[in-house]
Amino acid sequence: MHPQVEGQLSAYLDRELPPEQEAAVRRHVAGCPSCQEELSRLTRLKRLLSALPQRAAPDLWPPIRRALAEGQVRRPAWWTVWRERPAVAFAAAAAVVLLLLLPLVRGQIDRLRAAEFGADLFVREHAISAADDPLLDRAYLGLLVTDANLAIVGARPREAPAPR
Amino acid sequence: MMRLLLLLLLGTALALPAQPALGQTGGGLPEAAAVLRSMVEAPALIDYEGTKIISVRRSGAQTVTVLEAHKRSGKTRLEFLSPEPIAGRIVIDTGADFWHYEPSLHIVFQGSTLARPVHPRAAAEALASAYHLQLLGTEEVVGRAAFVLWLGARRGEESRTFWVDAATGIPLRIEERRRGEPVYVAYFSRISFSLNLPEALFRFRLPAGARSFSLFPSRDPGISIAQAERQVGFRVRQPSTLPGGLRFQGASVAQYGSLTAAHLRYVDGTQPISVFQVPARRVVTGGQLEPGEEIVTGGVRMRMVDLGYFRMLSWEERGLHIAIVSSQQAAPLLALARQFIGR
Repeated sequence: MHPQVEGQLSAYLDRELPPEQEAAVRRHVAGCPSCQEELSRLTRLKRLLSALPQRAAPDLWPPIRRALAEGQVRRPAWWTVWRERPAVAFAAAAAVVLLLLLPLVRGQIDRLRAAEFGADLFVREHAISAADDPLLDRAYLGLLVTDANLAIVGARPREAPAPR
Repeated sequence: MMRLLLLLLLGTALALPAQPALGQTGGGLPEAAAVLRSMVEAPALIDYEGTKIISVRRSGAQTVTVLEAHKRSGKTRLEFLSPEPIAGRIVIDTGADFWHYEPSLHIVFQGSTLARPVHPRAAAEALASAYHLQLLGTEEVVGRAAFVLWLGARRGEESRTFWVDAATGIPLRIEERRRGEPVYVAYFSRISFSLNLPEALFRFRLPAGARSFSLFPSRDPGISIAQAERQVGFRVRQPSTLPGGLRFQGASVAQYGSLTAAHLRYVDGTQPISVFQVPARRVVTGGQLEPGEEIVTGGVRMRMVDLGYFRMLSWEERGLHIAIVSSQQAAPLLALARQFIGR
């Protein structure tokens, strides 16, 4: 058998090839016993298929449309997700709990942070307002404000080792 | 010829340090009030550069060495030499902005200037009304003649002594005492005047790659209490009466991060008193500083923390955390605190 012609035999049988290809296949089949045999097999198969009784495909759409119209299509209840997808349900529940707790946790962090720098903020603000005192030593005022700057942003300078 | 004469006059004026006029008494010493006034107005007239040693009581004594340069008007440069943790810290106050560079952490802070316009006459009069003045004599400090001026608070037991340079009015040595105990001593170990300090010394250049923070102080300084209430969103407590000599100077809002506090300022001519108020729910009590001394007054438990030069008296009452900060003694702070109780 010749593979190139074999691929065209079915179309040849159904008269679907262009005229020049159809003529070429006819010429080849006339001189090729194996292709003649394959063509005979395909012809028999086609005959058998055309002899089968024909049945119309069932129309599925009308009952679906009817069910939709009557509200009979029911989705599973949301709580059944616990049974059907427990991992998804647990993740969703955890996310909700986290969202609810977030303001509380954040508030507590803010309070702790405020306790850390609150006093330093007050000292800094007071030192700046004390600049109105014309007798206050500017060098010491600078030291107070800069110490407070570092404390407020949580970057206290290292303490000097105690003298021995 | 005329231009040459003008140039000569201008050159002479720039070369000589301006010298505040001091009223002379019969015995040759000026009046204490005149020395005080010369000291108050000196920063607006005199440039100087020197090395200053500061000793301050702070849970033990702390000694700080700093190079201090001052240029008219309102420009200051500080470079800290010791102790070790602050060595290399640079502060530049341009008269408009305040810059702080911490080299060990490579951090820069920007804030508002600490320079204040001074009206020498009014300031000297306010100080004279709050302090007893006495000129104790003259002494030599770093090779320069200095008037020794003593100021004793009319209320309280605080005193300040200044060794005021006779030629320029710049204080060469400062001592502050509470009940006779020294709490603050600062003196120049060397000082130079009229060096024509270059402007570039008082300019700040942001070091490459440094982290930068903006820490500007309270918004709208000097607003009313009603305005402060609107900004902070809670009722600001006010004292029932003000203890003798105190007057309300103004309110503002102190804010950083999640903390927003009302700041009320009170003055009596000596050192100011600040009262900060913040909702107690915004601050964890007991998380700040050392425990301090517990004081119970008017049925309210308070804590007095000694921060060295400053004191902080704080307590919580009816959902509000209140902190009073000042360098004044404990008694005036407690007297003011009592006026806030139950308000």
